[in-house]
Amino acid sequence: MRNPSQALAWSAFSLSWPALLTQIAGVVSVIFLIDLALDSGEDTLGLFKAADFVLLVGLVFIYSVTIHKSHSVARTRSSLGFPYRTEFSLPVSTQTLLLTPLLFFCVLTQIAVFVPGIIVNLFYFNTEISVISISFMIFQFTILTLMLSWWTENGIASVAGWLLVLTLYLNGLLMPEFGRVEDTWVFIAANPSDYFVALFFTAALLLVTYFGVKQQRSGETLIEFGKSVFNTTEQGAIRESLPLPITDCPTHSSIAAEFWKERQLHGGYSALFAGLIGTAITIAILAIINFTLPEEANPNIENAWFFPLAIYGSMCVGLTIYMYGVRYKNGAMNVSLHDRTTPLSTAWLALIRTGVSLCSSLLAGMVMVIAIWILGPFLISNFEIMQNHFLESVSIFSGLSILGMLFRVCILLVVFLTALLLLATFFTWSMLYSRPTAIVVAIVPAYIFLWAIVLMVIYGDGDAAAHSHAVSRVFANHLWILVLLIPVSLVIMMRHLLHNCVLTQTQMITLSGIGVVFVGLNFAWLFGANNYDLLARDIWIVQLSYLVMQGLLPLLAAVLALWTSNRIRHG
Amino acid sequence: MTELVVEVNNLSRNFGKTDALDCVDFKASRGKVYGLVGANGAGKTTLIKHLLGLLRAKSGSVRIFGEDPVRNPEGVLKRIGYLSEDRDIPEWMSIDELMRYTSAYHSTWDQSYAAELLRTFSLDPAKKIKTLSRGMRAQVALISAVAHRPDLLILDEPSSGLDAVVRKDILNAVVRTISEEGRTVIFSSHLLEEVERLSDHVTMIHEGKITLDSSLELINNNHHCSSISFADLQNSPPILEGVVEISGEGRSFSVVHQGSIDAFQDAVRKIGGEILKSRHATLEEVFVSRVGRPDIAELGQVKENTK
Repeated sequence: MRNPSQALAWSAFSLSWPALLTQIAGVVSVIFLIDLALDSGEDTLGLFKAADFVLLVGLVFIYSVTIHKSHSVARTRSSLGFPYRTEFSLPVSTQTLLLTPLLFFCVLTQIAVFVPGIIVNLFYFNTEISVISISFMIFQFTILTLMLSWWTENGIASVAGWLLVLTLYLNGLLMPEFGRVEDTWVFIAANPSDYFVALFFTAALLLVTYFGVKQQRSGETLIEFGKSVFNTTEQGAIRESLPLPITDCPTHSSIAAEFWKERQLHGGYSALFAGLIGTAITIAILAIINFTLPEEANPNIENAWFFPLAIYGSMCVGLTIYMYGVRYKNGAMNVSLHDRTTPLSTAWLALIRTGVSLCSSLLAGMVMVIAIWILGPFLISNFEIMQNHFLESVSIFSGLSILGMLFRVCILLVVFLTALLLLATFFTWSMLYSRPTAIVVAIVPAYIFLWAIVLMVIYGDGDAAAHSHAVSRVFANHLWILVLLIPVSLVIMMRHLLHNCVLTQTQMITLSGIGVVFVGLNFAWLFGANNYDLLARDIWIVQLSYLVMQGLLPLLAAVLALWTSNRIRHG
Repeated sequence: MTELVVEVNNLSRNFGKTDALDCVDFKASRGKVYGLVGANGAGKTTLIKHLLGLLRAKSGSVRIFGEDPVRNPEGVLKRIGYLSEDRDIPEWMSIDELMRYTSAYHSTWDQSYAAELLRTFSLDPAKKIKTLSRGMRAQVALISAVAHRPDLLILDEPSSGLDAVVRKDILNAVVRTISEEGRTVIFSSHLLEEVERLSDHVTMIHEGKITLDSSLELINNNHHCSSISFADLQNSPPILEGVVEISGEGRSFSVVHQGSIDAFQDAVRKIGGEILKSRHATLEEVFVSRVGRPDIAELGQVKENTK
């Protein structure tokens, strides 16, 4: 290698070529399989739409995999900021350091779209392709997302950057308005001068990114919000930043001390911070939507409740994900030895950590609702439309007796907590064992996809009823795996917990008893309210088992949390 | 009969294809200081992790105070003080908060001893741990490990990050105090001089196997370093019983050997040689002879330390 650019490009290429080959092969073979299922030649339009979709998924795949790899190799603490930190000490200019990977990724995404696209086009469509327009779209998508991820390490500044770019995009300043010629890959810009406008703004953002990276290289940030204040990846940073009283650690009991520690790290401070951040993001997004929607479309804003819900959901996952103490440190996931050697039983540790995380999630939700309710009318016009929509949703509780309301709230709470616990556990395992998880996550949809193809090939020629029946049967038969998996895994994990003395026999019986109560409650609610649509189908034994399975989920979540805590602690 | 604090029997552990521990037997009794010695990746930390219950014994057994540390982590860990190699303590706490937090777990916490050590190290209790230097963090971690006067103190590379004064005077004092109180100390170290100075008993691990497990006194008495010479030219190094390592060529050889010096002298005479000089082998010589080629980093450390 003759110069630093070549060395940097080689290092990026050596990390990404397997993913690129996989992506190209994957896209071509998936389109081939879809063609097989659609009975080649008869449904080119369907295949064309599918090809669009597969190419897009392929693009997202290659982009996320390569970005993730560069971050994990760079051993950055978070996904924000310029990932090539180890190269900061190399004798290379900042522009080379920034532009080489930027250009590399831009070329990579072009290859990832054009190579499989051209192969597929040659074999199946033989249509025209607007190379310049498509290339420009991919270029903008790649360079903008990279710059937005790299220009700052500061979370707040990064969010502000994304919102700014979203606004520019919605106003057509970053991408020309393209018209597509039907059933082709021909895109025509409504106004060719838009290209120059977009390039101008992209160049401006590139300049900002350059200065951002330059600052990061010398250990500073471009926009100083107070790094220590907002660097939430640092433990205890939120506690220090909020002007709330800090209580002393109790010394009379180990349980109280552990509870204190968890509250300091993931308790009220985190909940309040997350709730306020969630509110700010929600209001900003709603304001942008409100601003960009035409006046007559304003009633559509009632559907915008999806955004706060999605933000709250991701916030909850963020708050519960640390309940097992797994953190990203020095480029790898690990659990602090200090936490693992805390002289407290695993059951107590799990109970305290889970309890604090889940309570924080609920508290953050309350903070968000109250803050949005108060601030919304001042910052978003037509906010009352959303308020009314929300009140309508809540009104399902209004006609109920106190007992009925309590019952519903209890069920909702159990469902919410169960889902959070299962999600947090899943994410924890995927952080600890990212490769096996990725394989499983890839295999499951691939398996479903193959079944869909097989069924389409067999029944695709017209017999819709037979096809639908076959889909139901395959679904029902596979449901058995899940139906059996839950009680079997419960038994295995419970045995493990008893063998390792994580729970005593009495505690295990109590836990199982509570689990059975939830199964009963689940039945009562599902049958009482006739809420279970699967009952209308014909394979009743599977449905019944499915019901039991659903009722067992809270118990499964609790046992899984204990089992996971024990595994993480003792290896 | 001396009370066994640690009892490891036939413990094996592998990570993938690497045997981290292979049929390890290790015992530690009350009131003694045990030094664990081995090259990087020899298995010292893996053994310590098993003692703490951070790894489950997949083959063999581990008993601390007669209990399984995995089945009863609370009971076992309450009686252990542990200083991890990377000084893993909650950085977001202040020193005072860490002291209060740790004391809540140990009914035996000695507040005056903790305060005395804080004064000795000149540490300000109000300071946040994350603002401390690496050496100061090591000192804080050491205090939180010893201030409850644990029945078993486990120190993983305790010298790492400590300056020479702290290492030589304070660490020695702490370790000696603990053992004189009838408690047990197990520590791993690359610094063989330190192990020689502090330990009553030395366990050498190499590639997951215990290669030497004996009291320091016995090791000193049993291992010698001798210079031998022959009247005739030797084509190859002589084969002698008890030789652990031999170097040299022609007529002169340097030998690290074990067993009685008289028996060795007889054996040398029998093959026509004579011992020019002989002395007790240092732990470093024993280590190098048993482990083979030490890695370069360790050699650097050893030399630096013995200057």
